[in-house]
Amino acid sequence: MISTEDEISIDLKDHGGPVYAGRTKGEKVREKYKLDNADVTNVKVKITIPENTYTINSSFFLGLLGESIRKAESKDAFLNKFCFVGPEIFNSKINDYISRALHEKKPLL
Amino acid sequence: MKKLTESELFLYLKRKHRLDLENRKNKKRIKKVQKKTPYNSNILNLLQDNLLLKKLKHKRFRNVNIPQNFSFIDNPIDTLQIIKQLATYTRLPIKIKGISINHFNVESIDLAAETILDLTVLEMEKEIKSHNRKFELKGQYPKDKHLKRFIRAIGIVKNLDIKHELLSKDEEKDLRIFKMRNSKFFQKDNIEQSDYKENTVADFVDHINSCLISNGRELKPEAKIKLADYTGEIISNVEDHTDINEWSVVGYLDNSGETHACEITIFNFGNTMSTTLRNLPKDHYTRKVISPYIELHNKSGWFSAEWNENDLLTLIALQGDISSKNTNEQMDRGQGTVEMIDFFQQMHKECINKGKSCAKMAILSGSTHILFDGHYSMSSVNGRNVIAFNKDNDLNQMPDKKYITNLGDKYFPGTIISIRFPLQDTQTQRA
Repeated sequence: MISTEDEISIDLKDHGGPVYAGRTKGEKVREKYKLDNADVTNVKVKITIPENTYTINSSFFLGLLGESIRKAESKDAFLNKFCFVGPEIFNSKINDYISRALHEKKPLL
Repeated sequence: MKKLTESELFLYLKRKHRLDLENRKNKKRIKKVQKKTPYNSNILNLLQDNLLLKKLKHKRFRNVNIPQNFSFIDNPIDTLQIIKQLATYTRLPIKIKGISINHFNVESIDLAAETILDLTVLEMEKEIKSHNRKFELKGQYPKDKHLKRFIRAIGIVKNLDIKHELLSKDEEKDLRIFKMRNSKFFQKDNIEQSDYKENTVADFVDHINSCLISNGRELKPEAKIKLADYTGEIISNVEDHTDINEWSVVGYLDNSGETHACEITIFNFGNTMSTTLRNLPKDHYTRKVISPYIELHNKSGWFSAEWNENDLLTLIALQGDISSKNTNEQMDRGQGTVEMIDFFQQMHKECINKGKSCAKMAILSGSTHILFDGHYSMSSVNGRNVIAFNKDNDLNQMPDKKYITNLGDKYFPGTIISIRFPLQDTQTQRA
């Protein structure tokens, strides 16, 4: 972990790989980097996805960042604070996960 | 896509070595415990059928005739009946000495059915032998040579390591099997490393890919992500919701034909999908979300012997944003089944592009069997992913009973997900 006062850097290679799965693990990584605190300050967060990654499951991603996305209230505000560095192939997945976290839950019927 | 680099290969081998080591240590520990107390199989306890217990004749040696269509996808009732029958034999007052499993009349078979049959037989053998009794196992292969090869490669023959019946290297070269069973490992607290589930998913994807590489092709990066997403989400779901940490992932790829026939099955023992939702307290957020739906079916008089509340709850569990873990409307859980259905729908779509549709998937949870063959699809309704199994994809209407079936008194104590599809050229590329 390389963190400065202005930036928290999360390199996923420090958390296993090439598969990142599981809500609990995502939440624990979130705790480790104290992202709850980061959400209420001006700190930027850089997340590095290793080149050899097979997948980042939605459960892991939303465990790690779901709260931050909802606190940011919009995709733009979230991406203004959180930046992702890694294979482009994951961009659409990340966009999809952000939308899921933000979408308003409607009644089942 | 490039071949595995040296460092990727190194990491893969390292991971594999670690898993093997963990498995070996575990087996030693189990053996030590076994020496002290006879083994009582939790799986057999769950699978045994009290009704059969009263009906079955007390014989020491049993003949089991496998049905023509031995498949959890296409013939769940007969298939489950056989499995439950086997488990129940060990619970009769009389001490069973052996069984003969007759596959002779089998014309089609699926991976889930054969895998769960094997698991049941292995548990029987382990339990009986732990009481210092002998257990004799006989069997007859199917007439069809492809099915015979399948049984020899994946079935009891393989698991019991009956050397003279195993496939030769030449026979095995086009048939690739991946099996990983977890009954011991829980999610680790150590977030610096991959846990057993993540390693299993990575190994599974590597396995499927290496099978294709031997045929001059490999998974496209997008297909690799889809496969890892699908398996990862399902196992994560199992870990999050089950009361028993007992799950298996089995994959099978037959490279011998023009299309690469692929089957994946993931199953677990423990809470069914409906039990998880039914056990929620009345004031739970998710309970409140699903209550109007139960109310609607109640008031409309739709519940019957063929369609009960458990079937309905299993259907509800498939809908997007539905999870027993959601405690308020801000939470984003309930995507696991969506990923799974999405994976199937993409596989199915690609099959149709080739002029025919042969992809199928089934979910069996408790007594509810749900069939996916592409006839009904999941789509976004007011921002929620919905699959209602009716023409209008409307949860206000009854689902099609051809696709959601209640199996009556046949009950699987957990959930089986079974998917069968041919790997298409669009999912692979030249290695």
